[in-house]
Amino acid sequence: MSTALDAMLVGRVYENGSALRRTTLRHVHLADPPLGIAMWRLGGERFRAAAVAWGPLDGPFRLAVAGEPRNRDLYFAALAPFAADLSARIRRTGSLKTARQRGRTTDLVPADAIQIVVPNRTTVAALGLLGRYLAYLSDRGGVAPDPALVEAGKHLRFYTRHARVPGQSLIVPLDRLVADHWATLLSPFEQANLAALDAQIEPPAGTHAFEAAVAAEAIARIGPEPTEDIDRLTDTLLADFNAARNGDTDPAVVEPLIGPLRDHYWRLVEPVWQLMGRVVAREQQLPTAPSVLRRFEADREAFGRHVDWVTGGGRYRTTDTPRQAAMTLRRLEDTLARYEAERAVEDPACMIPHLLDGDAVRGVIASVGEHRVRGRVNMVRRALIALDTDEPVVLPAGKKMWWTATAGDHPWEVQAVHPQGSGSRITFMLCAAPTPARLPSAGDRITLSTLHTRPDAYRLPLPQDPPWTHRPPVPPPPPDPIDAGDPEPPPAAVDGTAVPDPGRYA
Amino acid sequence: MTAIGTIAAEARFDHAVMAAAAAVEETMRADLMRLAGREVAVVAAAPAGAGKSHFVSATVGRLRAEGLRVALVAPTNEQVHSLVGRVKQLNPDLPVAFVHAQGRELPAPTAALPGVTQPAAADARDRRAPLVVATVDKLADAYLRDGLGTFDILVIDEAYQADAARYYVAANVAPTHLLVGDTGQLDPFSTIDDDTYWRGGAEDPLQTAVGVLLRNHPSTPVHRIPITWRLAPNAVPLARCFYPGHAFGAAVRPGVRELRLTRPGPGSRPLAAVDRALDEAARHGWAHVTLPDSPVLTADPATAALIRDLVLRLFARNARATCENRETPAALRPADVAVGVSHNDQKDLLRALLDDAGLARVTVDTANRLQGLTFEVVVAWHPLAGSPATDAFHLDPGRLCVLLTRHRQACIVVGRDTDRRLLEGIPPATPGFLGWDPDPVLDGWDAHEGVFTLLEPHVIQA
Repeated sequence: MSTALDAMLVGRVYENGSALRRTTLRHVHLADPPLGIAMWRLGGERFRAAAVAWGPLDGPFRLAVAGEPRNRDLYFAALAPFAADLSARIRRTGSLKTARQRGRTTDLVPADAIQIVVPNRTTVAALGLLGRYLAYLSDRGGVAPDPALVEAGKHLRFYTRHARVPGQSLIVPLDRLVADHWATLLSPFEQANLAALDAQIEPPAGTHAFEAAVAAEAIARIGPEPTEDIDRLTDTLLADFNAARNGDTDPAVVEPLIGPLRDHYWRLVEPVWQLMGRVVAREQQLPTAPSVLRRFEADREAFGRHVDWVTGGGRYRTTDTPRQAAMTLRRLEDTLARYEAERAVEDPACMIPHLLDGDAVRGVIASVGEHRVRGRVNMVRRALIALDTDEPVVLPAGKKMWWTATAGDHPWEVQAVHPQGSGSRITFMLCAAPTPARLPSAGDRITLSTLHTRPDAYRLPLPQDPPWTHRPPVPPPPPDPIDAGDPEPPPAAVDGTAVPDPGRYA
Repeated sequence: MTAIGTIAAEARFDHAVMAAAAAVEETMRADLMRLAGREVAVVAAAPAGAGKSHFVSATVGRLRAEGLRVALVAPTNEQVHSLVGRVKQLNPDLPVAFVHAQGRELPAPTAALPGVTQPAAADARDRRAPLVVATVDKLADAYLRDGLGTFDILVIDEAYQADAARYYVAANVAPTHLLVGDTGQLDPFSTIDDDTYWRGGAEDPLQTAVGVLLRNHPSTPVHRIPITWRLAPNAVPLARCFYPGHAFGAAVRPGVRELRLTRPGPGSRPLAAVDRALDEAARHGWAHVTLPDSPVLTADPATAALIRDLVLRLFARNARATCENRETPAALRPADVAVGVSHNDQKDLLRALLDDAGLARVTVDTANRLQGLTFEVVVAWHPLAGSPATDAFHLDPGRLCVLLTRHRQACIVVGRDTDRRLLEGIPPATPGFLGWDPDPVLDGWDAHEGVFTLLEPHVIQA
């Protein structure tokens, strides 16, 4: 992203008093409605979800509150409905497949995929931790964990790992969605607060975006990390809850006691849920970029593979093998390059940074001609165009650029650049035989850039067995399971109240 | 200063340094011959200009003389093209099969050398070509797609540039490996946002080929080559900033290389600063030209214009050079000069400026594409020039190392007079990763500080 463009946009936003669109199109698929998830953790326990809210974003949410999330029985009992519902939705959607024709091959891919939206990237990371915890649960005291919990853990792991794919739409952190589509006065750190972003886009009447974001930051609580005031209140409620249940985990005893904690989290989630709904509804109004369809098809394909794997009893490794890591890296690099090119080629607003950085030129076609050059063997026909730019440009001869209308085809090569009026005249030669579809017409205003959308050559899968250089001579001992199985009956549950807090204020 | 003609050929070289380097190289070759056929590797860690390509090419000749089939690879096409030429230069009778991707043929002069062929991978397989040269990627593709088959020895040049992901396939090609590389150059990098996702893990695809090998086989011998053929003695202290713990010396003795310029003529006052910079570089091997502080774009027109003026003036003053191979001064050609930059838009701007000035043969490129290349004079656009703040990309010690170690005669660094202030105060906090020690930001901070200090006597304000 061009620093100059960022500076200009910040100036305009300040002058305007509210945020400005960075794009003319939406580059992410948004389901109608997506499945929303919001989460809260305890301040002192980052690895447990104190409350999880979920549901289709156009309706009320369901809320899972464990009461005491550090107690395994209470924690699992609270998460079970969430896990069962998430797994059922994913299985149901993954099983509805449609035929896809590619050349002579027909395959089946899910007709849709469950899209999850969360308020921010921190929630994606938190769901990743929760998934990792649940996916590898083992027996305890000879009792197998609820299969729905394990399955939900696998789903969450898949979603949070898929979040790395550039341009994917399976799990959408809304802070990133908004920051990608809007220019605001917020720094990258401040952009993590969805309420502040929202306040800059639609500040209250008569309030400047800057003031609106300050006010929103002061009162909004998004999660999953609790602020100190929330944690103090939670601590009191938690202490009362633990004192009342007196170590009991029987649902009949616990359920009547959990009301105050549930109300507490309900009050926290409700404004976040409304905020998420408002943000998604606003972004849904923007026209979708053409390539979103292709990218979401790739998402559906990945979703289908995942569902087939999990329903077939498959398990995921906790870490990648060298082979998986190598293949993932190349796939992510290819996907990123194509996503950036598609954004810029389809959306004129996204091309601006490339124009400013000298990776693209825009001008009017002064002439279209043809001449013959020596190819590898014979003389071949090549098209020449003269492009007049409004501003002077500096381009070295030989640089290859793609016309945005044929960004998936062959490039044009810079032949010469000369001053022309207040701008420049650039002569380009097409690096392929000229056809009507490949040629612009005189008088057209066109953009050429270094970005192209040609899919890269098919990469072959790497050999399954790593070479000797990529494995130690003696295999390392297997790691301890994350949740060690234990043939003995479980020890007594540890309650938060029973653990002395050395840092507790007098 | 002593004229080269008066220095006896024997006295032009530091024979102690040469003997030490020859001993290390011979040990490596002996190890390789002894271990051929077993799943082991020998690693050669070299400073800039240590004669890696020469060592690799000579070693390939020796391995072939023993009847061993060899696959010779490097990360980029330019490096591989150069390797083919070097192998033929040292082993004129050796047949070389260059396997390449579409449109990546050898330059015509190299392709015309007797014994050099450019077969398709399937042809190389069918003929069981005894010496195949390719890029790491092409070798992997030919192995997987075309069943190129296996060899006795895999030799990787510039092995610190190749990442573990690329090495994964290539490593299957032969049981015994020779990995040769420059530890000071740029590490493998990726365009993805979270390229540290695997950092510290054994599976990290972005660790170097040498890194993954040593992680899994820590007993692999690493031989440090203690010589630089490219750098003159006056360039070695600064180059050492990039090779902590690696002792090396220049092969050439002080005073053997000399850059001569004619005196500035009448009417040169407007170019006084440029002339002072050129004189300083000719005399000491270094000049650090600084423009006044100013907020600048990445492709700053003023810096680019100054670099163009320096190159133009270098030729206007009839730059001539002597060296250990050339007793009489020979005029520098545009192809002997390079401009090194950090960004593509800087490269494009300079390319256009130099083309307009009639200097189309002067090389302009980014640091990662200059790796492995040698020039007589280099003008380096300092990575921190005019930056308002430091970041990991611009502090990368590998980038600065490449820019400041490509020259045989002189290097002129161009920046702004406030660049050094960026390093005042406390270095930035950087994330730590279990199982991964290097820290490019802190290492870069250290290297940049050392370089600024050593360049201080050579500062010329423009």
